[in-house]
Amino acid sequence: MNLTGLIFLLFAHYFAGRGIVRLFKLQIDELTTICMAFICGVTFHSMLPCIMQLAHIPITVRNTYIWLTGSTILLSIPLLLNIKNTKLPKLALPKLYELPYMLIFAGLMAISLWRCWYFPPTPRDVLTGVELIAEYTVKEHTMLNSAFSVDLRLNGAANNIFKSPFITGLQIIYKQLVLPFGQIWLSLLFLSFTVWFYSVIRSIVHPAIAGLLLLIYFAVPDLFAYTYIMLYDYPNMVFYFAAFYFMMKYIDSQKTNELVWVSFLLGMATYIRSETLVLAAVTSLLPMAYAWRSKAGIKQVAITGAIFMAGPLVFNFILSNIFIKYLIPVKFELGGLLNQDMFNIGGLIDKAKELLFDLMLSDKGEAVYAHFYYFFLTVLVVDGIRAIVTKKMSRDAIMALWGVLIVYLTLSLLSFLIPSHTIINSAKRGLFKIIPLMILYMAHSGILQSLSAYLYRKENGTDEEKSPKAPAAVTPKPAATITRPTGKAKK
Amino acid sequence: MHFKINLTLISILVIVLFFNIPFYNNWLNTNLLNPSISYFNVQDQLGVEQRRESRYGYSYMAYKELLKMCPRLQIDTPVLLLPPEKFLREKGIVGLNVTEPMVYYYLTGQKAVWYDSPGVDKANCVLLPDNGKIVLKKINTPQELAELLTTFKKYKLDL
Repeated sequence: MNLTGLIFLLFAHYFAGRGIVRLFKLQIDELTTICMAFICGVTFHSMLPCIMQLAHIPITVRNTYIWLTGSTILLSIPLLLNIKNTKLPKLALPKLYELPYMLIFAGLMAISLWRCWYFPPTPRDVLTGVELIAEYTVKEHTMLNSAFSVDLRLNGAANNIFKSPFITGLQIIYKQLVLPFGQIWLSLLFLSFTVWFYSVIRSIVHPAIAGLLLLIYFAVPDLFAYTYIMLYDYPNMVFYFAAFYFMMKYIDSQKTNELVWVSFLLGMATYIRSETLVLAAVTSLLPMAYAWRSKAGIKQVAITGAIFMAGPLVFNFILSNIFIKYLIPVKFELGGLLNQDMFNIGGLIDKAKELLFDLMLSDKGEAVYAHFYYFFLTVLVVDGIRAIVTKKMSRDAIMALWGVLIVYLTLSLLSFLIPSHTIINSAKRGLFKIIPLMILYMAHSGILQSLSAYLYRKENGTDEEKSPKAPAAVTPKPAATITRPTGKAKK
Repeated sequence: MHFKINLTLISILVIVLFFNIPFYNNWLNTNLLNPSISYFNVQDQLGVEQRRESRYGYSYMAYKELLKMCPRLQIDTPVLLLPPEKFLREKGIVGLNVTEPMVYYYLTGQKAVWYDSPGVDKANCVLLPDNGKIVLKKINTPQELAELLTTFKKYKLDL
C-alpha cells in the first residue's frame, strides 16, 4: 500500500470537500463540516477521471496527481478566501457511559476497515462493469479501453457497464495512488458518515440512548457488510440521508442556501444511483407541502420544488448525457428495461406487499436486516399509542416517518416500473436508505425523548417536580445545528 | 458521579443483553469474531495475489493454472471458449465455476467467449472434461470449433 498516496488523497478530499461545503455558507458545526468535507470531496473526485477522459488526457498516475492537485486548489478557493473564519473543532470527550458503546463501535469499524483493505472487490455487479473498466483504465490509461472488447452480457443484457462512474472513478484513483484493489475510499465514506450520524443522533437524544440506537444500526448485517463490500447502495444511502436530514433543517429555517445544499446532496445521490431521481421527486413533495401549509403561495411552492429538483436533474443530466453517453461506447436500450404493463396498479400494490412481507418482515429479511424492523415497529407502536393518548408527536418525528414511507413506496414503485430492479437484490439494498431514517425517527419519538429527558434530569441532579422544563434546558445543542427561528414552536 | 457509573454499568448490561439475542449472538460469534478468513491466520498471506486467491477461491486458481498450459500448447494469444456450466456438471466436473467472459478477462487478463458471443470464431482453446478433471485443449481447426459449438449449444447458458 502506498501510504503517501493515501495521505495525499485524504488531504485532497478534505480540502476540496471543505471548499464545496463552504460554497453553501451553511451554519453548521465543525464536526459536521469535517465529515461532510470528506464525503463531498471523495464523491467530487470520483468525477475527475471522467473529466480527464473527456478532455482526452491520458489517465496516468502523473496526470491523476496533477488533476487532483489542480482541482483541489480550485475548490479550496472559497476556503482560502474565508480562512480567518476557519475554526478548529472543539473536541468534547465522550462521557463515561458512552465508552462501552464506543469500544464496540471502534471494534466494528476496525473489522470493516480491515476487510475493506484486505479483500479484493468481489460483487458480481462491479466485476462485470465498473471495476472491470477501472482495472483496464489503469493498465491502458484510457476509460475507452479493451474491457469493451469482451462479451458484456449478463442476464441477457449489458447493464452493469452503464452504472454510474462514481465507483469507476474512485477505483481508478485509488488503484493508481494507493493499492491495487482500490476500494478503501469506501472506508472513508463509512467513517465520516458514522461519526456524523452518531453526532446527529447524540444531539437529539441522551448519549446512552444514542449509543444503543447506533448499536442497532451497526448490527444490521447487510448494511455492515456493505461498509467493506464496494457497491453503490451504501454511498447512496449516505447522501440521501444527509439530504433528508438537512431538508428537515431547511423546513425549520426556510433559508435558500440550505435548500440549495439539500438539492446538491440529492444531486450527488442521483449521480451515484440514477434511480434516486424518482426518490428525489417524491421527496420534493415534503418541503413543497410544508411550504404550502405555511401559506407561502403557489409561486414559492413551485420555486421550492424547482430548487429541490435542480440538483438531481443536473447531476442526472451529467451522468446520462455526458458521462455514460461519451464514456461507454455501447448502446443503451432502456425500452426493454421498463414494465410493459405500467398502468396495472394491482402490480404496484403487489410489489409493495412483496417488499414488506417477502423481504422486510420475512425470514429472508431477518438474515439481511436482523431484527431491526421489529425494533422500529416496537417504538412506532408504543410511540403511536403515546401520541394518541397525549395528542402530541413532534414534527421531526412525523417528518422522519414521512421519509420512511417515501423510501418504502418509491422502492415499491421502482420495482414495479423496472422489472430488473428486483425486490431481492436492488430493493433489498435500496432499503439501506430507510434504516438511518428509522433511527432518526426513533431518536425523535416521544417515548425515547421522555427517557432522554429523564436521564438528563438525573444526570444533572434536577428532579422533575422542581424543574418541569429541565429536558429542553439541558438538551445539548444539535451537532449539525442550523439555527432555528425561535418563534416556530414544534407541533 | 454515582449516576454516571450506574449508567455505564447499564450500558454494558444492555450491550451484553443485545449480543445475547440469538441472531446477534450468532452474528457476533461467526461473522465478526470467527470469520471464514480469520484476521490472525493471514499474517503470511498479505500479498496481492494471495489475497485474490483466498477471496476468489478454487476457480480463480484453476483458471490461472490452466493458462500456464498455453505456451506448451503453442497458443500465443489465447481466446478461451467457455463451456456451459451445465455441460461440465453433466460430465462430473463439480468444483469449477464457469465465469462470464467479463469476469474471466478481469481475473486473468485473457479473452474468453461463450458459444454465442460475438467473435466466437476467434476461439483457439477450450476447457473440457477429461477423466473427471478439467483440461485446456487447443482448437486446431474450424471444424473442431464447429463441433464444439454444436455440443455446447445443446446447453442453456446460465448468465
